[in-house]
Amino acid sequence: MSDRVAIIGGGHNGLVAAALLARSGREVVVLEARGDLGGLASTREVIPGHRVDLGHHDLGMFRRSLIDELELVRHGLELIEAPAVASVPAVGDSGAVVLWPEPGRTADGLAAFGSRDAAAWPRFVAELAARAAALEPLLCRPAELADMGRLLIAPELLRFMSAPLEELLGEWFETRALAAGLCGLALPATALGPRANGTGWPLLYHCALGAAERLAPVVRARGGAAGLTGALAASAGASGAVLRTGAVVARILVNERRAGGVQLADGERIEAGAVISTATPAATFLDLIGAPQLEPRFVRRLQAVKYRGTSARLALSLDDLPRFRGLERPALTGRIVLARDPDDIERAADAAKYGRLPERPWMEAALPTALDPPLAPAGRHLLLATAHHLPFHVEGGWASAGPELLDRMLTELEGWAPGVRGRIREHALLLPADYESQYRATGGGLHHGEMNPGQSLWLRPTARAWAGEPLPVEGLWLGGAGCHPGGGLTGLPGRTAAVSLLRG
Amino acid sequence: MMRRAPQGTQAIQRALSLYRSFSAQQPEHRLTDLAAEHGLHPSTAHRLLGALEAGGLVGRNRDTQGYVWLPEGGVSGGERPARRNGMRLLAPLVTPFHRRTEALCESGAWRDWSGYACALSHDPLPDHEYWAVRNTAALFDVSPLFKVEIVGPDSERLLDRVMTRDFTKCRVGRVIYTSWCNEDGHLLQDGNVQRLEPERFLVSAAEPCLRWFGDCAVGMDALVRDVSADLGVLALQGPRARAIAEAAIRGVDFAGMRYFDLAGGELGDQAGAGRGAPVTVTRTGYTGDLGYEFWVASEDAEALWDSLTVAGAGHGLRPAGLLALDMVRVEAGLVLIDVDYVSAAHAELEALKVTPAEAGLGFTVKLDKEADFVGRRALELERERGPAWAMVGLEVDWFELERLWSGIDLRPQVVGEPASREPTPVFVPGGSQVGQCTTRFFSPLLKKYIALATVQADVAVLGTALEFEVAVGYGRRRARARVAKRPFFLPDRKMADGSAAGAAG
Ligand SMILES: Cc1cc2nc3c(=O)[nH]c(=O)nc-3n(C[C@H](O)[C@H](O)[C@H](O)COP(=O)(O)OP(=O)(O)OC[C@H]3O[C@@H](n4cnc5c(N)ncnc54)[C@H](O)[C@@H]3O)c2cc1C
Repeated sequence: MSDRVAIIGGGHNGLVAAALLARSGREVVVLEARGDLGGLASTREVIPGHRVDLGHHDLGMFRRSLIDELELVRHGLELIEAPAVASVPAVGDSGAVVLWPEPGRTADGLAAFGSRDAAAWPRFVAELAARAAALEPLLCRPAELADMGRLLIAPELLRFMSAPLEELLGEWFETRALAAGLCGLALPATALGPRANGTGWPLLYHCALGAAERLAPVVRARGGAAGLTGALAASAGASGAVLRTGAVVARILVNERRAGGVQLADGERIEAGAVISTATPAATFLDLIGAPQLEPRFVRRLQAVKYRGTSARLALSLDDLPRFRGLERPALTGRIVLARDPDDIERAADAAKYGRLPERPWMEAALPTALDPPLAPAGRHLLLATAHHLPFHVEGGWASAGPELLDRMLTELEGWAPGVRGRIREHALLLPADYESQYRATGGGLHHGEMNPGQSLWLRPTARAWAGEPLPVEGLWLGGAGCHPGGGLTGLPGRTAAVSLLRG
Repeated sequence: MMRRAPQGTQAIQRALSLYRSFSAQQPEHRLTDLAAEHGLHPSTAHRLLGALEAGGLVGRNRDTQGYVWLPEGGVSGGERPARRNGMRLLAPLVTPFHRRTEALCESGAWRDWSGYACALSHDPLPDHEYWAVRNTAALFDVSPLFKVEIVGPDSERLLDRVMTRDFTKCRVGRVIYTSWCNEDGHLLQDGNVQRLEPERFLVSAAEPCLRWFGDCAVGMDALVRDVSADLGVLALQGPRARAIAEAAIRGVDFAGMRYFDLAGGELGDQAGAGRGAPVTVTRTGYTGDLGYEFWVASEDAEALWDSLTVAGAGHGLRPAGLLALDMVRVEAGLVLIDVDYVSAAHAELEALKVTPAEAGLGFTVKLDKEADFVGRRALELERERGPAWAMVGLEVDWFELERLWSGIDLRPQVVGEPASREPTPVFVPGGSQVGQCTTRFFSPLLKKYIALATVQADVAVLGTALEFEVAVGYGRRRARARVAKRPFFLPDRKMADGSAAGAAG
């Protein structure tokens, strides 16, 4: 049997697994279908001369221990922490809300909305941090049955996991824009609106892995997400891992229920003693292995996984920084949530349920050049606007809905940052369907499986994961966002896969 | 186990709109007209009207065969058959033979079988029906079986993956009796599979299996479809079955049909003119006797019934019910799901689940087949270890029964009773419990009290003396029994080829 480990997918999780395994002396080959590495966290020159992040580019949840262990700084990673976490620009006669890592600073700003929310804020952050601290260890190790018991005796945490986010926030705050900002942090890439049960969970997840006592600060890599994935690739390469792009895996070779390697689309067979797949669970099992080779009960569980939660990313090259109402320059460095009210998000979710585009898409915007100017040529700025809660199967198809969505996004942006339309020099738009066709994200879902409590912890990737039931194919590990603990730039699924494999 | 209407509320809506077609001005409609008017397949319309009829909302005009409106929900003779017979019908589903069986059912005793009303017996007592199976012939309506059609290029592969038997060896025109298991090798069901065409099979089973086959078909090019309500099924069983079948069906070489063969024919005697309704014939049954089963489209069901009963008139053919069926199947040593074994699909306890071998169906498990069928791993392990339980036949003779009952000065009170499904413990003589007896029955044919029992594998040796509990008056006594060969009754004619069986009959 070959000693080689074949890793399917060169997203950040695949690279983390590769770097860890190569460091432990294993022979590693990473097979990435695309021409570049990084997966849903890649930086590409879709606008000439601009380094555009087409996916996630916030490293706030990335495990610090991995940075040290894999010597990522030596391999070129440079972190920049943004002064602001999130903001909601002013609308009408409501002022802008800015959330800073320092609770006191946020509270000072909230004072303009009345004393109640200002007083509540530090207590809210403290409570959130306490819940998050209880959760963090559960997220950082393979889901254990004993942890289920630990959760059950923590009713407050359970409630936060299962209740609607809007209700939870309504117990603390009156200011709608503040609630909108927090919903905007929690609800990217899900189909659930803030009034849906289980929406507290993503906020908790985000904070638990992102320094909750400072409300999950925004951290970027210099050079965009590629700054991280490039350093991961360099670290893996330095330890001897072979990283192949343009290598489409067509089959995982299974013999007598044991993985023995992979076969590429061009017919090349790569033998391996172990396979880690960071493709989605559906792609891994139903496409690369095939249901007829799996137990029916496992197939049934796989088919129940929901991949919904799709988004579109619009990149704009502007000839100046846009002026969002009521936001000063430092506030522009964080996530800019473009929703007046949680209802804006709820309405988008409602429309998506019925296959329609939202009338007024809510967006999450970022100005990467505000922190890292060389991402765009001199005199230009990048604005990334991501519309969430979009239907994957849109009425009329994306060929006609795409231009319509672009128009609606631009109209909304103009409302939030008057004059911005006139500053646009170039643009690029990635639609939900593109994330599936170009990045192999099943159903366009950006977390390889929606992040909701029914698909988390012991239930990720499928029900009965809690029982520690081994995967039905020996020598195969899942290592992408579709498995525990889930999506985002954390490196955790990849690390867990590598650690379990090394343990044997 | 209640069967749901095929499409949930859709069926109700369709039935309602059918019902609304009737009015005082238009009190009578023909089936074909109604079907066309509502855009329904005639068999669907037939089924829905059957339900309305059973509910006393419409009736039939015996002369024109049309459906007539019964405005007050049954005042003019459209009373529910069930209520007239003084029992509560569990579900308003009737088989496509219901009008015939209902007319013949003097006992008024109906039982729910998968949601369908089925006659327990037609006579007040099942004796004549029981003897008909062994001496002449009996006709059973077994339409409530669940029927699933599997079609497509991967249909053989799908069955080979689901079933414990080797379907690569199943030729067109054959039927295979098989088990199927869950992933742990625990028995889900047993049933027959017909290979109708190279890429078309029909599975018949006592319990629902559509979802399971569907789950197993993911990633395969095979369509799994429930056709339960589309087909009516009759079982013609007994020594005269062949003679009757030959007179009722043409185009089938009954003498040349081997046990578990399948053939297509049409209704009508050999000399008859015109085209009769198509019928599929299988040489199968649940009685351990010579017999055939007939599979027709629901709309042809009554015509099938009529052909067989006309042909059977001179042969002593009797319509028979579930009680007689349950009696003869015990003599034949055939196990019944949820009576003699619990399906793993709904066993509440892990301990209740059994493997095919433990249910007496070890012969259906083909570990030498190539496919990695569901449950194979576990069954391979079981073969190494040996099964923990075994299904055995037990036999108590008349003298032992007399000994038991003499204590209370009575004749043995087991004669003339239908098969009992009440589970009772089985012991080693004078010792502890080693299993349970699940069906027992005094066979008038064999003059023996016979039983099916699940016992620990170590005592499942032919001839071993065991004891099982019998109620003698109010007392619980142990009857000495002996592990006996199953089937208890195996006439040559059951499997013999045409000429020999004809002689035996
Ligand atoms: C616009 C956008 C916004 C996002 N916002 C957030 C956010 O706010 N918060 C958050 O937590 N997360 C967010 N995410 C999600 C986050 O980016 C992902 O969860 C994370 O990047 C997943 O990393 P991964 O390595 O597990 O998978 P991926 O990055 O998807 O990597 C999998 C790789 O496998 C490759 N692959 C698949 N199949 C094959 C095959 N057969 N052969 C060879 N290669 C194959 C793919 O090409 C891909 O490169 C966002 C994503 C996007 C796109």
